[in-house]
Amino acid sequence: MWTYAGRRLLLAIPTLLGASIIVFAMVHLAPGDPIAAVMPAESSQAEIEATKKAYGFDKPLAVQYLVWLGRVAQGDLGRSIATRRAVILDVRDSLANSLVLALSSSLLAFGIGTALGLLAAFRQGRWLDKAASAIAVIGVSVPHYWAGIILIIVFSVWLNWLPAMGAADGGGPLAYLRHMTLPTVALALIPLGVITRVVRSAALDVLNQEFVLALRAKGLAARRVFTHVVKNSAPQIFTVLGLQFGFQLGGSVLVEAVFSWPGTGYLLNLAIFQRDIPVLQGVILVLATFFVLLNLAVDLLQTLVDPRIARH
Amino acid sequence: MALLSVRELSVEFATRDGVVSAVNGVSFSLEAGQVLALLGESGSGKSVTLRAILGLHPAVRTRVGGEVLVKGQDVNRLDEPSRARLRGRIVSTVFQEPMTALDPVYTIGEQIAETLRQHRGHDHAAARRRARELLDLVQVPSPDRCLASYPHEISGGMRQRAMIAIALACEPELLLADEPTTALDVTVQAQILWLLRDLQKRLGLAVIFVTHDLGVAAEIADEAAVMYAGRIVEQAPIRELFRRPAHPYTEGLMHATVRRGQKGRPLVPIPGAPPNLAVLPPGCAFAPRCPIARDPCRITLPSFHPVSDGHVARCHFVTPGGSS
Ligand SMILES: Nc1ncnc2c1ncn2[C@@H]1O[C@H](COP(=O)(O)OP(=O)(O)O)[C@@H](O)[C@H]1O
Ligand code: SF4
Ligand SMILES: [Mg+2]
Repeated sequence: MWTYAGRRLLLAIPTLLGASIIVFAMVHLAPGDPIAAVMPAESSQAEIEATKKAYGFDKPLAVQYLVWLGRVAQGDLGRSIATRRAVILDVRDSLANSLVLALSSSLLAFGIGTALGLLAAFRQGRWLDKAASAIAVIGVSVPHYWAGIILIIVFSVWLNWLPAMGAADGGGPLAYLRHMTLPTVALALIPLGVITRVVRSAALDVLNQEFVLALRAKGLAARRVFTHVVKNSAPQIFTVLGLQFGFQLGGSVLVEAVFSWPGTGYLLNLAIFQRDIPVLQGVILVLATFFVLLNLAVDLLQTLVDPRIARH
Repeated sequence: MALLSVRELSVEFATRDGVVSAVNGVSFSLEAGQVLALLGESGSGKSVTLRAILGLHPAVRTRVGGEVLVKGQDVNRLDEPSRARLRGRIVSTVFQEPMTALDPVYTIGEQIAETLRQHRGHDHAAARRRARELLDLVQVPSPDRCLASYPHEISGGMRQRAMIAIALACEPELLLADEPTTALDVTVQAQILWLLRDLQKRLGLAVIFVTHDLGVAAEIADEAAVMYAGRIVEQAPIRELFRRPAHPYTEGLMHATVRRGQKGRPLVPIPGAPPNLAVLPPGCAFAPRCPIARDPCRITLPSFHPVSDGHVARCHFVTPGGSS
């Protein structure tokens, strides 16, 4: 188990380095002078000099990369061209907001999707199975920004129950909760559909195996058989949950735009339109790191559940 | 009262290709401590019969008819919880392939213990003690290690012993063994067979032993029933069956398998293939492959004809006292 964990951790390092190289290269791939790419046009000469020194633009690329990596490792991601704020602050705040949304929508989707998927598998071919499949198809096929707009029209415009924009800065926890409700629901739809389908097919695979017949043949009560089936489908369920959680973090650009939710997607959107390369670099680097660590966590969790993976 | 009495059992599956009649009017009974061998080529309905005895066929797309009386209770009329109380407690099962019949993510110890918790309400310590005892009973050399192992960590022979331990955990009276040695290495096959025979004698178990290997049947059974296309076509005490096979299909089976004392004789497989169970012919289902079939065979279904005391065969051309 621990050697396996160590090996997986070592494998994560080259992935992270690769991501950092791509992010570093963005400065040089942007058209024009690299200084112009990372500095606001009206920067003072002193600021330009300081940045030049920090990036070491006169030195070879490899050295520049290492210097930059050293600063990144210390949490210095440079300054935003648009706001002059330290990028790390913007990224931190937006990451927190995105995480909240990713977590709440994931929890909603995980809970309902797993329950629906399992129920559908155990009631295969009955009406409950068909209803679950219908929900899954709707969840996957409705574009979530479109669902977001519909939610706004119904719950904000017509019924006036819930707010549609922003995160209620300084409005207290209750206001924050009210603001996150609609984007949470909009973001939960796709993973809900995917999870329902994957959990159903994973549980059906297990149900069709001979050992389930053997468990029933030895007189085990239905709820005990259910536990066996869940435990056997757990690796597949964890994989889809982890992947979906990852998508939730990265895939919310459109929904955050629809609801003006100040998360990483919103920040990324803003940075692209304002050609704010340092912010772009910061967001991408932090998200990439996050994905790699998340994958690692899911892998390790699987080995805890399925003894066959690590022992072989 | 017989321990098990099966009357006119039939099992039909609705499939895309029509209604498959996997079991057709099967009747037999079994006394306590008696061993019945269920013989027949693969696909003849042996496993489906065993599953019907436990009431394990799903309700969807399946029709089960007839009676299965276990100690007088009709399994087909019991509700699911009452059936679950019979399974593993009165009637237990050993499957053909222990690797797929054991749950891969539970240890052997957990799989024995949960059976005891289900039927006996044992606590953790008691279940563990009894599990160890059971592994001793089935002659597992290092029981503690086996209890802590997952199925993939032990050999095929050990897995089958563990499967038998689970089946015997709650001291059942009837053991359904569905080709329990077929999936094992030849040397291990013999060991498991001896173990089963030994346990059967010591515990006074009634056993239905499913096999397509006549040699194995001869080793363990008192009585034999031969199945073809979902019907029992011949039934007799095992020695009588070997001495005087009365049904052409049974004779064919004997020519097609190796038996002790018959080395050097060429094996003659039965020509042709088993019939499509979705469109069974009106007459004898064996007629297309039978060397002595005549016109009446294709028109009317033969009923059981007595051959000798306790020996019957479903063939038009059986005469009492000898084969056709
Ligand atoms: N669930 C099912 N649905 C449709 N056909 C089935 C089902 N289970 C078994 N059968 C068919 O019933 C016949 C008898 O199967 P089985 O009892 O497993 O044979 P065997 O004698 O080899 O154990 C086979 O032709 C098989 O294809
Ligand atoms: S009834 Fe006819 S076809 Fe069937 S086994 Fe007897 S002789 Fe052969
Ligand atoms: Mg079979």
